[in-house]
Amino acid sequence: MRTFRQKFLDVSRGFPDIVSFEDIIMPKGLYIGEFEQLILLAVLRLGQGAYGSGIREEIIARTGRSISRGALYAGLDRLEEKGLLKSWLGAPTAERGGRAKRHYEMTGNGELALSTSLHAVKRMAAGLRIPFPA
Amino acid sequence: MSNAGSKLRALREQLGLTMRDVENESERIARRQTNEDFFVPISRLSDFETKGVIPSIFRIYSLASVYRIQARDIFLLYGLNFDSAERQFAAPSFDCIQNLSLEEVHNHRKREQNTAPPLAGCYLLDLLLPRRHRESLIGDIEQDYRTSILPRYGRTAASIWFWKQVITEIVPGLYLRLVASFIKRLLGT
Repeated sequence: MRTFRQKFLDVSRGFPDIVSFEDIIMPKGLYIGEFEQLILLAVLRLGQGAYGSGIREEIIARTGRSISRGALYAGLDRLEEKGLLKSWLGAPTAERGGRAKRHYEMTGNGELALSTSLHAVKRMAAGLRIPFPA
Repeated sequence: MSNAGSKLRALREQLGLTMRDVENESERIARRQTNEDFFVPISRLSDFETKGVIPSIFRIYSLASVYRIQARDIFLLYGLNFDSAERQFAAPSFDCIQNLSLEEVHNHRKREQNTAPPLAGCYLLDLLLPRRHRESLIGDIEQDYRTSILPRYGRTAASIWFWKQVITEIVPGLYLRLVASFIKRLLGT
């Protein structure tokens, strides 16, 4: 009986873009760092109402980590370039000085990247005793 | 915009009015309304007609009165069609404003100025932030300012908070740009 790896090797011969085992699990360009994980989790939590200020407040409230709006928008841009998020401009409002709000939503690739990276962290931490931060 | 200005000029000339006539008439309107914002000096009228400067709503009112046309006709010259289904702003208060008297509009304007963040800070953000994030980022700061900081802490503390946001958002970007331009010069590119 062929192993998963052997089956993978047969498959990879037909797909020249797949050059390693990792490409099956995580397609090229979809690796995400810790900050990007936090952004995607915040977008997931907020659902349809996700926008810059809301995402920032969610991250600050849940992690206690202080982030600047510029760093957040740079992170959102990177994720959008990678195809993990999509955005659109909402209607301008008076409380925003007549400026439009940019809303964000996760794409299918974003969900895949997030679940894969979180599972990777979980597998790495499995069996370890992680003390609660003081 | 300059097209709108030339149409305004053509309309004035068609009515046989000089710039001095418009100035004098607007001065009468300003005195009647006890508000100098309605006054349209010759220099300003020239700016509207030849330099593409857009008149304020008070001066639009004065021009409409002097030229005996509807204010909406002047808005149309600048591409704003109030009969269209699309609205520029979603805020419900905008619909109410159209039915208010001029005095109430003026008071509303004063209230809006009282809740507005420091203008100099807004200009700095507009000038120095990357174009892509500008609208969303400034909008976020302004929204936080108006909805949570100003009502809770008052105008002075809210202004301090706003300037702190301006510095936080601008300084890292400026520093990076300085470093990047220094490296460019060093490499001679």
